Amino acid sequence: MIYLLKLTENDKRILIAIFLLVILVFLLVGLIVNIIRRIMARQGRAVDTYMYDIIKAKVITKPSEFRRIGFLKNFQTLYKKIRLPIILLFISFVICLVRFIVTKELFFTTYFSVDKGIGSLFYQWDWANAEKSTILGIPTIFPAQWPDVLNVPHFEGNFSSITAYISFPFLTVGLILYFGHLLAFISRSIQTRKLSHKVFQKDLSKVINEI
Amino acid sequence: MMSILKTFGLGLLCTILSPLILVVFVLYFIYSLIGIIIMFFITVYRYFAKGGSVLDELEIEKKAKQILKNQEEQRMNMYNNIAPQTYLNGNNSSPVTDNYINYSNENNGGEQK
Repeated sequence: MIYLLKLTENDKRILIAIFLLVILVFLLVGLIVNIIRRIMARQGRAVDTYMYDIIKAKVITKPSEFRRIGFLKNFQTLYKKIRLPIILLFISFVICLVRFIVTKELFFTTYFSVDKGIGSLFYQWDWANAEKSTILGIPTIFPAQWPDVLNVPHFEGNFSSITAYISFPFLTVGLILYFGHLLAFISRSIQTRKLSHKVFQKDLSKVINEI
Repeated sequence: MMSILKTFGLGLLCTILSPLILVVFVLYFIYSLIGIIIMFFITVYRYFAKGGSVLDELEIEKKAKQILKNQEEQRMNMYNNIAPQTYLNGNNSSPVTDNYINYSNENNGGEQK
Protein backbone atom coordinates (compact mmCIF):
# COMPACT_ATOMS: atom_id res chain seq x y z
CA MET A 1 0.00 0.00 0.00
CA ILE A 2 2.86 2.32 0.89
CA TYR A 3 4.46 1.34 -2.37
CA LEU A 4 1.27 2.20 -4.29
CA LEU A 5 1.29 5.66 -2.77
CA LYS A 6 4.63 6.24 -4.39
CA LEU A 7 3.10 5.80 -7.86
CA THR A 8 3.31 8.93 -9.92
CA GLU A 9 0.39 10.23 -11.95
CA ASN A 10 2.01 8.88 -15.09
CA ASP A 11 2.44 5.39 -13.55
CA LYS A 12 -1.23 5.29 -12.56
CA ARG A 13 -2.28 6.28 -16.05
CA ILE A 14 -0.14 3.53 -17.56
CA LEU A 15 -1.48 0.94 -15.11
CA ILE A 16 -5.09 1.86 -15.93
CA ALA A 17 -4.31 1.73 -19.68
CA ILE A 18 -2.71 -1.71 -19.34
CA PHE A 19 -5.62 -2.98 -17.22
CA LEU A 20 -8.18 -1.75 -19.77
CA LEU A 21 -6.13 -3.15 -22.64
CA VAL A 22 -5.98 -6.61 -21.02
CA ILE A 23 -9.75 -6.61 -20.41
CA LEU A 24 -10.39 -5.50 -24.00
CA VAL A 25 -8.09 -8.18 -25.40
CA PHE A 26 -9.82 -10.95 -23.42
CA LEU A 27 -13.26 -9.64 -24.40
CA LEU A 28 -12.24 -9.53 -28.04
CA VAL A 29 -10.85 -13.07 -27.89
CA GLY A 30 -14.08 -14.23 -26.21
CA LEU A 31 -16.19 -12.59 -28.93
CA ILE A 32 -14.09 -14.14 -31.71
CA VAL A 33 -14.33 -17.58 -30.06
CA ASN A 34 -18.11 -17.17 -29.74
CA ILE A 35 -18.38 -16.34 -33.45
CA ILE A 36 -16.17 -19.32 -34.37
CA ARG A 37 -18.32 -21.61 -32.20
CA ARG A 38 -21.48 -20.42 -33.97
CA ILE A 39 -19.88 -20.94 -37.38
CA MET A 40 -18.71 -24.42 -36.35
CA ALA A 41 -22.20 -25.35 -35.10
CA ARG A 42 -23.64 -24.30 -38.46
CA GLN A 43 -20.97 -26.19 -40.39
CA GLY A 44 -21.60 -29.31 -38.29
CA ARG A 45 -25.19 -29.51 -39.53
CA ALA A 46 -23.87 -30.93 -42.83
CA VAL A 47 -23.59 -34.27 -41.00
CA ASP A 48 -27.37 -34.30 -40.44
CA THR A 49 -27.90 -33.76 -44.18
CA TYR A 50 -25.66 -36.52 -45.49
CA MET A 51 -26.54 -39.06 -42.78
CA TYR A 52 -30.32 -38.49 -42.91
CA ASP A 53 -31.23 -41.13 -45.54
CA ILE A 54 -28.90 -43.73 -44.02
CA ILE A 55 -30.45 -43.35 -40.57
CA LYS A 56 -34.01 -43.14 -41.88
CA ALA A 57 -33.59 -46.37 -43.88
CA LYS A 58 -32.11 -48.02 -40.77
CA VAL A 59 -29.20 -49.54 -42.69
CA ILE A 60 -26.85 -48.93 -39.76
CA THR A 61 -27.63 -49.88 -36.21
CA LYS A 62 -24.44 -49.25 -34.25
CA PRO A 63 -22.60 -46.04 -33.22
CA SER A 64 -19.31 -47.46 -34.55
CA GLU A 65 -20.87 -47.90 -38.02
CA PHE A 66 -22.23 -44.36 -37.83
CA ARG A 67 -18.75 -43.03 -37.04
CA ARG A 68 -17.18 -45.06 -39.88
CA ILE A 69 -19.67 -43.79 -42.50
CA GLY A 70 -19.46 -40.29 -41.03
CA PHE A 71 -15.67 -40.41 -41.31
CA LEU A 72 -15.84 -41.42 -45.00
CA LYS A 73 -18.48 -38.81 -45.85
CA ASN A 74 -16.54 -36.16 -43.94
CA PHE A 75 -13.42 -36.77 -46.03
CA GLN A 76 -15.52 -36.91 -49.20
CA THR A 77 -17.04 -33.50 -48.38
CA LEU A 78 -13.61 -32.05 -47.53
CA TYR A 79 -12.11 -33.37 -50.76
CA LYS A 80 -15.00 -31.90 -52.77
CA LYS A 81 -14.69 -28.45 -51.19
CA ILE A 82 -10.93 -28.19 -50.78
CA ARG A 83 -10.18 -28.30 -54.52
CA LEU A 84 -10.55 -24.54 -55.06
CA PRO A 85 -8.12 -23.51 -52.26
CA ILE A 86 -5.69 -26.21 -53.40
CA ILE A 87 -5.77 -24.81 -56.96
CA LEU A 88 -5.17 -21.27 -55.64
CA LEU A 89 -2.28 -22.43 -53.45
CA PHE A 90 -0.85 -24.39 -56.36
CA ILE A 91 -0.91 -21.29 -58.62
CA SER A 92 0.85 -19.34 -55.85
CA PHE A 93 3.37 -22.14 -55.45
CA VAL A 94 4.14 -22.16 -59.20
CA ILE A 95 4.70 -18.37 -59.21
CA CYS A 96 6.99 -18.66 -56.17
CA LEU A 97 8.86 -21.52 -57.87
CA VAL A 98 9.45 -19.35 -60.97
CA ARG A 99 10.60 -16.54 -58.65
CA PHE A 100 13.04 -18.88 -56.94
CA ILE A 101 14.39 -20.28 -60.25
CA VAL A 102 14.95 -16.79 -61.70
CA THR A 103 16.26 -14.92 -58.64
CA LYS A 104 17.60 -17.82 -56.48
CA GLU A 105 15.94 -16.19 -53.47
CA LEU A 106 14.33 -18.43 -50.87
CA PHE A 107 10.68 -17.84 -49.96
CA PHE A 108 11.04 -16.84 -46.31
CA THR A 109 14.15 -14.70 -46.72
CA THR A 110 12.77 -12.08 -49.13
CA TYR A 111 9.05 -12.73 -49.72
CA PHE A 112 7.91 -10.41 -46.91
CA SER A 113 10.78 -7.91 -47.17
CA VAL A 114 10.30 -4.23 -48.02
CA ASP A 115 12.72 -4.00 -50.93
CA LYS A 116 12.15 -7.39 -52.64
CA GLY A 117 8.81 -8.65 -51.38
CA ILE A 118 5.25 -7.95 -50.37
CA GLY A 119 6.36 -5.81 -47.39
CA SER A 120 6.59 -2.74 -49.64
CA LEU A 121 2.77 -2.62 -49.88
CA PHE A 122 2.25 -2.25 -46.11
CA TYR A 123 3.08 0.29 -43.44
CA GLN A 124 5.95 -0.71 -41.17
CA TRP A 125 6.79 0.83 -37.83
CA ASP A 126 9.98 0.71 -35.82
CA TRP A 127 8.53 -1.18 -32.83
CA ALA A 128 11.91 -2.58 -31.78
CA ASN A 129 13.51 0.81 -31.17
CA ALA A 130 10.43 2.58 -29.82
CA GLU A 131 10.78 4.15 -26.40
CA LYS A 132 9.23 1.81 -23.76
CA SER A 133 7.01 3.08 -20.95
CA THR A 134 8.09 2.53 -17.34
CA ILE A 135 6.25 1.80 -14.09
CA LEU A 136 8.19 2.63 -10.91
CA GLY A 137 11.25 2.98 -13.07
CA ILE A 138 10.93 -0.57 -14.50
CA PRO A 139 10.56 -0.64 -18.31
CA THR A 140 7.51 -2.50 -19.71
CA ILE A 141 6.92 -4.03 -23.16
CA PHE A 142 4.45 -1.25 -24.02
CA PRO A 143 5.76 1.68 -26.10
CA ALA A 144 5.55 5.14 -24.53
CA GLN A 145 4.69 6.76 -27.86
CA TRP A 146 3.86 5.74 -31.43
CA PRO A 147 7.07 4.45 -33.14
CA ASP A 148 8.66 5.95 -36.26
CA VAL A 149 7.44 4.87 -39.71
CA LEU A 150 9.94 2.64 -41.51
CA ASN A 151 7.98 2.09 -44.71
CA VAL A 152 5.11 3.85 -46.48
CA PRO A 153 3.17 1.66 -49.01
CA HIS A 154 4.75 1.89 -52.46
CA PHE A 155 5.37 -0.28 -55.54
CA GLU A 156 8.75 -1.81 -56.29
CA GLY A 157 9.50 -2.51 -59.94
CA ASN A 158 11.91 -5.48 -59.58
CA PHE A 159 11.05 -9.06 -60.61
CA SER A 160 11.04 -10.41 -57.02
CA SER A 161 8.51 -7.83 -55.84
CA ILE A 162 6.22 -8.18 -58.88
CA THR A 163 6.03 -11.98 -58.54
CA ALA A 164 5.37 -11.54 -54.81
CA TYR A 165 2.52 -9.09 -55.59
CA ILE A 166 0.97 -11.56 -58.05
CA SER A 167 1.30 -14.65 -55.85
CA PHE A 168 0.23 -13.00 -52.57
CA PRO A 169 -3.55 -12.75 -53.32
CA PHE A 170 -3.65 -16.41 -54.43
CA LEU A 171 -1.72 -17.43 -51.30
CA THR A 172 -3.90 -15.39 -48.92
CA VAL A 173 -7.28 -16.36 -50.40
CA GLY A 174 -6.15 -19.99 -50.73
CA LEU A 175 -5.03 -20.15 -47.09
CA ILE A 176 -8.18 -18.44 -45.75
CA LEU A 177 -10.44 -20.81 -47.71
CA TYR A 178 -8.31 -23.80 -46.69
CA PHE A 179 -8.55 -22.94 -42.99
CA GLY A 180 -12.30 -22.30 -43.34
CA HIS A 181 -12.79 -25.77 -44.80
CA LEU A 182 -10.46 -27.26 -42.20
CA LEU A 183 -12.62 -25.69 -39.49
CA ALA A 184 -15.70 -27.21 -41.16
CA PHE A 185 -13.91 -30.58 -41.25
CA ILE A 186 -13.22 -30.38 -37.51
CA SER A 187 -16.84 -29.31 -36.84
CA ARG A 188 -18.18 -32.28 -38.81
CA SER A 189 -15.84 -34.65 -36.93
CA ILE A 190 -17.13 -33.35 -33.59
CA GLN A 191 -20.77 -33.48 -34.76
CA THR A 192 -20.34 -37.05 -36.05
CA ARG A 193 -18.99 -38.15 -32.67
CA LYS A 194 -21.84 -36.41 -30.84
CA LEU A 195 -24.56 -37.80 -33.11
CA SER A 196 -23.15 -41.34 -33.06
CA HIS A 197 -24.16 -41.53 -29.40
CA LYS A 198 -27.31 -39.44 -29.63
CA VAL A 199 -28.97 -41.20 -32.60
CA PHE A 200 -28.84 -44.67 -31.08
CA GLN A 201 -29.62 -43.62 -27.54
CA LYS A 202 -32.75 -45.34 -26.21
CA ASP A 203 -35.20 -43.36 -24.09
CA LEU A 204 -36.64 -45.48 -21.28
CA SER A 205 -39.16 -42.81 -20.26
CA LYS A 206 -41.06 -43.35 -23.55
CA VAL A 207 -41.48 -47.06 -22.74
CA ILE A 208 -42.69 -46.21 -19.22
CA ASN A 209 -45.24 -43.76 -20.63
CA GLU A 210 -46.52 -46.39 -23.08
CA ILE A 211 -47.04 -48.87 -20.21
CA MET B 1 -23.45 -8.00 -17.43
CA MET B 2 -23.37 -11.80 -17.07
CA SER B 3 -22.91 -12.27 -20.82
CA ILE B 4 -19.97 -9.83 -20.79
CA LEU B 5 -18.42 -11.73 -17.88
CA LYS B 6 -18.99 -15.03 -19.70
CA THR B 7 -17.35 -13.64 -22.86
CA PHE B 8 -14.44 -12.36 -20.77
CA GLY B 9 -14.07 -15.77 -19.06
CA LEU B 10 -14.22 -17.55 -22.39
CA GLY B 11 -11.56 -15.22 -23.77
CA LEU B 12 -9.34 -15.83 -20.73
CA LEU B 13 -9.81 -19.61 -20.96
CA CYS B 14 -9.10 -19.70 -24.69
CA THR B 15 -6.00 -17.53 -24.24
CA ILE B 16 -4.68 -19.92 -21.60
CA LEU B 17 -5.55 -22.97 -23.72
CA SER B 18 -4.42 -21.38 -27.00
CA PRO B 19 -1.20 -23.48 -27.31
CA LEU B 20 -3.27 -26.66 -26.93
CA ILE B 21 -5.88 -25.41 -29.43
CA LEU B 22 -3.10 -24.56 -31.87
CA VAL B 23 -1.57 -28.03 -31.51
CA VAL B 24 -4.97 -29.67 -32.16
CA PHE B 25 -5.49 -27.43 -35.20
CA VAL B 26 -2.04 -28.25 -36.60
CA LEU B 27 -2.63 -31.98 -36.02
CA TYR B 28 -5.97 -31.74 -37.85
CA PHE B 29 -4.22 -29.83 -40.63
CA ILE B 30 -1.67 -32.63 -41.08
CA TYR B 31 -4.37 -35.30 -40.75
CA SER B 32 -6.56 -33.63 -43.40
CA LEU B 33 -3.59 -33.10 -45.70
CA ILE B 34 -2.65 -36.80 -45.53
CA GLY B 35 -6.32 -37.69 -46.12
CA ILE B 36 -6.54 -35.41 -49.16
CA ILE B 37 -3.33 -36.85 -50.66
CA ILE B 38 -4.59 -40.42 -50.13
CA MET B 39 -7.96 -39.51 -51.68
CA PHE B 40 -6.19 -37.94 -54.64
CA PHE B 41 -4.32 -41.18 -55.32
CA ILE B 42 -7.54 -43.20 -54.90
CA THR B 43 -9.23 -40.86 -57.40
CA VAL B 44 -6.43 -41.36 -59.94
CA TYR B 45 -6.51 -45.14 -59.42
CA ARG B 46 -10.29 -45.32 -59.76
CA TYR B 47 -10.26 -43.11 -62.85
CA PHE B 48 -7.94 -45.48 -64.70
CA ALA B 49 -8.99 -48.79 -63.16
CA LYS B 50 -12.74 -48.61 -62.60
CA GLY B 51 -13.88 -45.38 -64.24
CA GLY B 52 -15.51 -44.11 -61.03
CA SER B 53 -14.71 -41.24 -58.71
CA VAL B 54 -13.96 -41.00 -55.03
CA LEU B 55 -16.85 -38.54 -54.81
CA ASP B 56 -19.41 -41.13 -55.95
CA GLU B 57 -22.12 -42.21 -53.53
CA LEU B 58 -21.14 -44.88 -51.03
CA GLU B 59 -22.68 -48.34 -51.35
CA ILE B 60 -24.53 -47.88 -48.08
CA GLU B 61 -26.03 -44.63 -49.37
CA LYS B 62 -27.27 -46.34 -52.53
CA LYS B 63 -28.77 -49.11 -50.41
CA ALA B 64 -30.46 -46.58 -48.10
CA LYS B 65 -31.92 -44.66 -51.05
CA GLN B 66 -33.22 -47.91 -52.57
CA ILE B 67 -34.89 -48.90 -49.30
CA LEU B 68 -36.53 -45.48 -48.96
CA LYS B 69 -37.66 -45.61 -52.58
CA ASN B 70 -39.20 -49.07 -52.07
CA GLN B 71 -40.96 -47.87 -48.92
CA GLU B 72 -42.37 -44.91 -50.79
CA GLU B 73 -43.58 -47.14 -53.64
CA GLN B 74 -45.23 -49.51 -51.17
CA ARG B 75 -47.00 -46.59 -49.52
CA MET B 76 -48.22 -45.30 -52.89
CA ASN B 77 -49.46 -48.78 -53.87
CA MET B 78 -51.38 -49.11 -50.62
CA TYR B 79 -52.99 -45.73 -51.20
CA ASN B 80 -53.96 -46.58 -54.80
CA ASN B 81 -55.35 -50.00 -53.93
CA ILE B 82 -58.03 -48.70 -51.57
CA ALA B 83 -61.39 -49.58 -53.27
CA PRO B 84 -63.66 -46.62 -54.06
CA GLN B 85 -66.71 -46.39 -51.73
CA THR B 86 -70.13 -47.30 -53.11
CA TYR B 87 -73.23 -45.95 -51.38
CA LEU B 88 -76.64 -47.57 -51.47
CA ASN B 89 -78.72 -44.45 -52.10
CA GLY B 90 -78.84 -44.98 -55.85
CA ASN B 91 -76.97 -41.87 -57.08
CA ASN B 92 -73.60 -42.98 -55.55
CA SER B 93 -73.18 -39.88 -53.43
CA SER B 94 -72.22 -39.88 -49.77
CA PRO B 95 -75.25 -39.92 -47.38
CA VAL B 96 -73.31 -37.67 -45.02
CA THR B 97 -72.91 -35.00 -47.70
CA ASP B 98 -76.57 -35.35 -48.72
CA ASN B 99 -77.73 -34.87 -45.13
CA TYR B 100 -75.51 -31.82 -44.78
CA ILE B 101 -76.95 -30.27 -47.96
CA ASN B 102 -80.50 -30.94 -46.78
CA TYR B 103 -79.72 -29.44 -43.38
CA SER B 104 -78.23 -26.32 -45.02
CA ASN B 105 -81.26 -25.94 -47.26
CA GLU B 106 -83.62 -26.06 -44.31
CA ASN B 107 -81.70 -23.60 -42.14
CA ASN B 108 -80.34 -21.11 -44.67
CA GLY B 109 -83.33 -20.76 -46.94
CA GLY B 110 -81.94 -22.87 -49.76
CA GLU B 111 -78.43 -21.48 -49.63
CA GLN B 112 -75.87 -24.24 -50.07
CA LYS B 113 -72.40 -24.03 -48.61
